[in-house]
Amino acid sequence: MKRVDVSRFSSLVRKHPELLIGLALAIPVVLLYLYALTTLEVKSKLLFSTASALLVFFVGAISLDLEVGSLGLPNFGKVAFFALGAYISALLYSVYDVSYLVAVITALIISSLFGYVLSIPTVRLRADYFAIMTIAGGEFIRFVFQNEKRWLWAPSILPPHTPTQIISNRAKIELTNISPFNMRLGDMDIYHVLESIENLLRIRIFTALDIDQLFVWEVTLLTVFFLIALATYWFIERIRRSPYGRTLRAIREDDITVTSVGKDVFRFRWQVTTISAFICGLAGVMYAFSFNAFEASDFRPELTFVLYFYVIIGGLGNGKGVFVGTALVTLFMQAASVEAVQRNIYMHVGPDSPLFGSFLEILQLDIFINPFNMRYVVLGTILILFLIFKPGGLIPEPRTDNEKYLSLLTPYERARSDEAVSARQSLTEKERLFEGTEDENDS
Amino acid sequence: MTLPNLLNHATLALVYAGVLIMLTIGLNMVYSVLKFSNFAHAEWVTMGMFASWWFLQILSYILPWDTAHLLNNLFVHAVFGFLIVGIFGILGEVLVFDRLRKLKAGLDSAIVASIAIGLIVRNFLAMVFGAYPEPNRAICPTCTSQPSLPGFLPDLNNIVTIKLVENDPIFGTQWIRINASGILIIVTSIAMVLAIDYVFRHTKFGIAMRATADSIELAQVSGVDTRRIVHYTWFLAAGLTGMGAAIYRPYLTGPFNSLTGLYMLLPFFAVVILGGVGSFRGGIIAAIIIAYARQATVVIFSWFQYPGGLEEILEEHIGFTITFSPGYADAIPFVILIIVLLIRPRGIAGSVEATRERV
Repeated sequence: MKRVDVSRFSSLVRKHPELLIGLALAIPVVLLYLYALTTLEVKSKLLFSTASALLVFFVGAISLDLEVGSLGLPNFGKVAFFALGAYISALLYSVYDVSYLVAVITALIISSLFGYVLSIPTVRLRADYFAIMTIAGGEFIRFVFQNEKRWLWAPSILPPHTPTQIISNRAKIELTNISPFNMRLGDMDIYHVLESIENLLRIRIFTALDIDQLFVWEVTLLTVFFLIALATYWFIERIRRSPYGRTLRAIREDDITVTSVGKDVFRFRWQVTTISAFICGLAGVMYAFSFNAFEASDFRPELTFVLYFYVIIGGLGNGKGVFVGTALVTLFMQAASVEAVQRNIYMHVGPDSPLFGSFLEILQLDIFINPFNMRYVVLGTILILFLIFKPGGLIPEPRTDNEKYLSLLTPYERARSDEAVSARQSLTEKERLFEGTEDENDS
Repeated sequence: MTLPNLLNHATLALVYAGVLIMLTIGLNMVYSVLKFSNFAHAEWVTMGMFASWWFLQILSYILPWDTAHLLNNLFVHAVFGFLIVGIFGILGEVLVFDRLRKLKAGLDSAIVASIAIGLIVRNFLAMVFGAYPEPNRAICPTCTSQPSLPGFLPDLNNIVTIKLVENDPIFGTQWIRINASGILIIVTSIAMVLAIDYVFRHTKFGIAMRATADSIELAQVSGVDTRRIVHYTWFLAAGLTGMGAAIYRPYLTGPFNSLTGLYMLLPFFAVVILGGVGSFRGGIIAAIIIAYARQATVVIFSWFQYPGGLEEILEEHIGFTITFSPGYADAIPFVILIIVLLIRPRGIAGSVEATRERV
């Protein structure tokens, strides 16, 4: 019985080698997360923050994936749209007293407008110049939020009411205080129904995870986020499967050929940038709910880099991969932020340490190994390893099957088409940029 | 209405231009030889600062008698910074970029990889040296409070002040105030550019490097060992950046941390793109333009904020105004980048139009 299982698993691994890498990453991460869960007194707090971070960043990452994975535009200014979504929705609602729906819609419109405006001068540039320009765009938005004290700062809560950079998120504060939402799930009748069902089935997940300690607003928020994430996923997968998505992939592979068949590449690029800015603005509106108050320095370029972790580890160009990447990295980041885990990782290696003390004394080193920096070192290393050894990510983009069209051709036409493809490939951007590396291998 | 202290601002801008020139030589070299923008460059700057600071700590510990600063001086620290950062430059090439190139990975992967390297190095430095360079046992007591340290051959904190006008009703106060460190930065930056320019134009090594930059295949046909040239390029580029950072460090007035380099990344790219990829003399002009544009923004925007300035005028006559904060000066590179990439993508002196390769 057991042998059958093993052989089935090994054949599965042979078919999908990325499964093994996935497991090698997922098992320690999940174990670390479970360990973090067991050390907590109220487990549902961590569960809520994990789930909300997962959903928010999934929406952000999938909008990035539409640009990088499907179109090949490495946008490093994603944080700008997070900032615009979060800031404008919170500002309009809490300072200018606009109704929340209008505030959100304005935020989305402004962030897609910014995406459009930023795309006009940049999408024609080569990939690295595009990256520089988008980083600069993201920093520019941050400067504006930092410096525009007349319009974009909020009056402080304390009496003199001088404008401060810190925006208190009234939408979240109100949501946590309105009557049905401020109750714990354990006080609701429906929870007891669920619990009795659970008791009937003799599983104890709800009790084990302290689900009754969750607030109603948390559950509501998660439900709304889940629906938004699902809708975004569906929308983007729809785009990918449509002829529009096929054109995008063709542009990513070889924009010159696409131009030669009469497609306006520039139009496709700005359209996708704008759509992606819209979705990322939505993620920004959602992201605001993870703060009671936030300020401009919460939107640093690191946020964009974290999105790249999700997309590249998970797999470019498909929603499933992005989800897997987001889930893995979010679990890791959340587990690393739990206090008990931090205490275990924290280490001071200095002259007073027993092992290399005198050596470090001469070198004048005091090394503080702390989880906050360590997690970025680990994630960065994993990212580079993926880029080198598994560029497709954990779940690679499904290859389009051209065989069914090519089989319709006559052998002569088939040979002509193969010839054209190979001739074209030698001229693609990759080859032009990294020419001559084969010769190095030879020599 | 008295003028602000324009001469002082001009001096500050000149030193800033020197810093930009010094720190962008390496970026420009990697750009022109390897044809990709190295985002980890910012971390080389940070690493150079930390490395030279660290070597100062070591030397003050093992050479306590060296009060005359025969060995424990800025130039030794700078050489140490050169070696350490240069070695890391080669490591990045051997471990990551070389492999990526062999895989024929796209430009996107190289960019993402360089950003990831930057992230790793930044956080690694933060762990090793702490977020701020503050050792818990002060060996040189002034080191912790003040990063501009004792004993840089002549005392670098010597301030030269030339007062031209003082409390004049029209011109206000105009002075030139520069410390020895600022002068050292300007001199070093010019010397570095001239030296590198000479190496690139007139030595065999530099010509091989330029041949590699033009076409790797042709260079190989002519018998150039391009692999060695690429490694030397990384070593020199990273090393010069680390050395520049070590020389820049005593000029800083506040403590530096692991993010210091990252904040300067955009001005760096603005200098390289405005000056033209592959042109070091263009870089000088670009650095001066950017430094002066930045300082001018500070002057003009703070002038707008004075009573009776543009903000008040707008408020009175239109009833609507925005804040002209001098903090926008940091966004100047962004504006310059947009203008350059729209109007003249090859920069002031670049000969190869490297920017627009897409349809």
